Parts: sequence; structure tokens; C-alpha cells
Amino acid sequence: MMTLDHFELCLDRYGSDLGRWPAEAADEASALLDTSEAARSLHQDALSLDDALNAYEVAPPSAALEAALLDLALPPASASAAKQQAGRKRGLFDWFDLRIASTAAAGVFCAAVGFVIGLQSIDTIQTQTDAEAFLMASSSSLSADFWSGDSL
Amino acid sequence: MEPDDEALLARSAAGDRQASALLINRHSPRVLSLGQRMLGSREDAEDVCQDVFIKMFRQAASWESGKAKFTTWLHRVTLNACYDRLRRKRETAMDEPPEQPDDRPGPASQMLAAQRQARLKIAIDALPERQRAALLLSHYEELSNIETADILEISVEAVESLLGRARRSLRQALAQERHTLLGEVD
Repeated sequence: MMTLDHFELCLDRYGSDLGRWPAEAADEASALLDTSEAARSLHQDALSLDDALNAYEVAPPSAALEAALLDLALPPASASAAKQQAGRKRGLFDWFDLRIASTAAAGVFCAAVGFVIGLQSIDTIQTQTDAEAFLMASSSSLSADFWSGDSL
Repeated sequence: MEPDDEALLARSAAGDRQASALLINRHSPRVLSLGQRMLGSREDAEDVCQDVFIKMFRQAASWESGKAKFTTWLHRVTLNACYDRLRRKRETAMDEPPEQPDDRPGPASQMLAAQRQARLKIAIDALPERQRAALLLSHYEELSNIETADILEISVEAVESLLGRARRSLRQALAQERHTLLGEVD
């Protein structure tokens, strides 16, 4: 036979709905409720508390929140990429290998182009040097003031 | 027949927006209500809801069937997001006065219902976090004590102890308001 104290303990642990109690305890509680006014009073208190808890309602999500949540869902392309990333870790390394190889190839190409341009520039520099020598020679008789415009 | 959560997760991961919408429609109310009752704030609960669904959509592609029950994972992630938010709130807590029930006059039935809800909300907010989480999962989510224990990662006995203390605390906290809260008008 369930004692009143144990009944109260079970009410605290499982609530007022005997359907949610362990079967054996629920059977004993039913028997106690049939015979004990004090047990019925305790049960009524528990029912009232559960009713009060039920009165604390929360509004469902607004349409705006649902739309915002849907925006968080991955678009098809990203979802596909995410799935591949999660499912094919080896694929990730392949991708890195491809990136490194293509970067290296681009670097070699740029170096080759730079070398060819550099060779051509030597001739240009030589030509420039000759022209500057001619100008210096032809203007050597002019003072610095001339070049600054102060002599005019 | 409605597709199960794991099937919807797989479809969502493949970019099926209809599956994502179904997941949102099915689970956002419970995430939001658990968050709001846990945090006592609609705004914070909506933020938590978004955090949880970001994690869910990220997780969808790598979800391993049979490893965990989806709703258990969802409840645990929601509670962890709530704990994080509560911790941050404590760290930046300002000396705000505690919320008080609105006692302004109004239509009698509306006022009474609003007062009941406000007082109960204060009493629930005053519960220690673990007691509150156990009570919300058990009462509002209607989870068994075994499921609640799984989510909270504690024993069933510990859950029952938390529930017992939570209900006793609520009864004590509400004792002064009992006449109003429980409709026992003298």
C-alpha cells in the first residue's frame, strides 16, 4: 500500500497525470485515491499546478521567423558542396592539389614572360643610355639655371 | 505518410527547400517554446531558434542515421544554446529590477489570465536552470523521464530529483498567489 508521503513524492516527480507514472505506482496511487481524502487533496493541488503550467502559452513562430529560418537552409549548390565536403574528405585534398598545381604553373609562366621582357629591355636601356649621353653632351654648355628656368 | 526527420534532413542537405520547410514547420514551434520558457524572452528565444536551425542545416549533410534520435539532438542543442545565452546574460547583467506582473486594471478575465501567466513565468524564471530544463521537457514537451535524462545527460533518478524540487519550489513560490493563480477566489 502506497503511503501518503510516497504519493506526494510521486506527484512531484511525475505530475498529476497518473497515465505518465510507472504502472505499478499508478495502480497503488489509484487505490490510495479511492480511500484517502488527504490523497485526493494532494492530487487536486497537483492538478491545479499542472493547470497553471498549461496556462503559460507560447505563441507559434511568426511567418517572418519561419521565412528567416528557411533562408538559413542551404541553397542547392552550397548544399551539394557541403555534402561533398562532408562525404569525400579525399576530394578536399584533390581540390587543394589542383589549386597548388595551377598556382605553380601560373608562376612558371609569369617567370618565363618576365625573362623574355627583361632581355628585350636591355636593348631599350642601351638605346636610352645613348640618347641621354647625346643630350648631356649637347647641353653641357648650359647652366643649371637654364634647366630650372631662372636664367630667362 | 509523413517523411521522417532523417529523410527530411537528407533531402534538405541535397538542397530540397520543401524538405527544409517541413523540418521548420515541424520543429520550430518546440524549439521556440522551449527557448522562450527557458529564457523568459521572446526575442532571445527567436535568436536561439535561428542558432539551432543554422546548426541543424549544417549538420544535415553529415547526419549519421541511428547514431542519435533527432529530437533528442534538437532538444539538447536548444538547451545548450539557452545555457550559453543565460551565461552571457549573467556576465553582462545590469541591475535591472525584476519583472513584475501587470496589475493595471482591465477586462477582468483578461487581467486575471495575464496575471496568472506573468506570476507563473516569474516563478519558472526563478527556478535553477537544470530544474527549469527538466520541468519544461517533462511538462511541456511531454517527454518521459528517461528521454529527459538522455537529453540532460544525467540519470533518471537525477531527473526525478530535479522535477521534485522544481514542482515543490513552484508550489512554494506560488503559494502567496494561490488564490489568484489557481482560481481559488475567497
